[in-house]
Amino acid sequence: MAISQSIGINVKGIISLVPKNVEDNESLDILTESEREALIKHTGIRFRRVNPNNDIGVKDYFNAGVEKLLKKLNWDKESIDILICVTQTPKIAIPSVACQIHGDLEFESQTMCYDINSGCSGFVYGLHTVSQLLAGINKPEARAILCSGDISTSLIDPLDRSVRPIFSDAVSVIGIENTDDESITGYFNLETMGKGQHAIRTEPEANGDSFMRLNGIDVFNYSVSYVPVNIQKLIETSGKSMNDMDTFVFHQANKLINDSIAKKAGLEPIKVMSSLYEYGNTASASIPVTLGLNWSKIERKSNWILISGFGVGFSIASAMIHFNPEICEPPEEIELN
Amino acid sequence: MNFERFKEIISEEFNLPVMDVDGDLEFRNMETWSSLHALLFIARINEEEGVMLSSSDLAGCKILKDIHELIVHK
Repeated sequence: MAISQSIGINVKGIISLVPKNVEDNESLDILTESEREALIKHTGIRFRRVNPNNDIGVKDYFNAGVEKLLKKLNWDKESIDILICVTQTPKIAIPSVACQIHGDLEFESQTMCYDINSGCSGFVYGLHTVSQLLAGINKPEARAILCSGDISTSLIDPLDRSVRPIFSDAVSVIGIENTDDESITGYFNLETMGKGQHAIRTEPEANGDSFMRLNGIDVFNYSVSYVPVNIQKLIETSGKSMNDMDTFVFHQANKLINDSIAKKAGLEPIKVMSSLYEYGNTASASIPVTLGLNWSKIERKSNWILISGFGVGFSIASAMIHFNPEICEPPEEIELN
Repeated sequence: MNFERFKEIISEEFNLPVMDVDGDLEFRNMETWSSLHALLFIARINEEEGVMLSSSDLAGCKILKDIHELIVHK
């Protein structure tokens, strides 16, 4: 896709929710002590959040997040024009998670709803979709809610030594508003390398289960070969420079991949944020989770940030966005019953 | 990359004494061979040589000499 722009879009608020239940890689019994030590050192991942109740799904976390965000932004449900959910872990295939949230929380009929099936690049894809939809609504303060996140542990084989130590559960809910400002507020570069579709995929088991399997070497290859190029192209086309960015936030794949990308893209390490140690790889919530965790520490000069999601597909989505939200909070622990 | 340097990298990434690293060694039989260590090795080769090995590249290799040949000719 050609590089695209958004105009007059304002990200008003970001909140994230994580299960209270924590798994510590330092005591993960499927690895030996030396494997645990090497894993934490090289992936950067110590703690992961795990949804403890199989009856609770991603929709339930989104429901709680949407209610909290509406309250914090002082938005009425009646004012919401668009509700988009980015997830790959719905508990049921039909209807869409967005329609379930609409029904559970009793939104008005004028709110359009649908899901986007996208993983680690999903937050940027969702932001792009919402930005274009808002631009098409002839209303100065049109509002959208973007839900982005996964209960990835529902797809994890507990004995899989490559996948289990990496993935973690989290959801983020983002409030986005149209303004009458006609300046550019975002540049997007969305790409797909479908030949990498086998690098991360679910595979059925004989007993009917379906687990996510990961080819770590191929994920590394695609990430390190294509993401820096995608970012460079975005920067060149936008006419901005790396120095114009207050911070760089990548999908939280693992430390080895993220450090390699940052180095190849020539980014200042001090401006690259992480949430790997605290929350692991939180799939399509990883960028907002990382933003929320670090936002109070970021020195803000331009109010422009660079974000980049990459993974399942193989899908790559980078964006430079104007970002000055009223709310950008660290993840909140939640227990749902 | 000459074979001596390749041996040093294998030794460091797989925690083996360099004298035990032999071109005819079937790398999948190394005690420390794991998906994580293989990934670290791939990353190291990419950083030092600018060569990116894929999982299908490795699938076509049996002994360490095969990997070295691949790196040299890629």
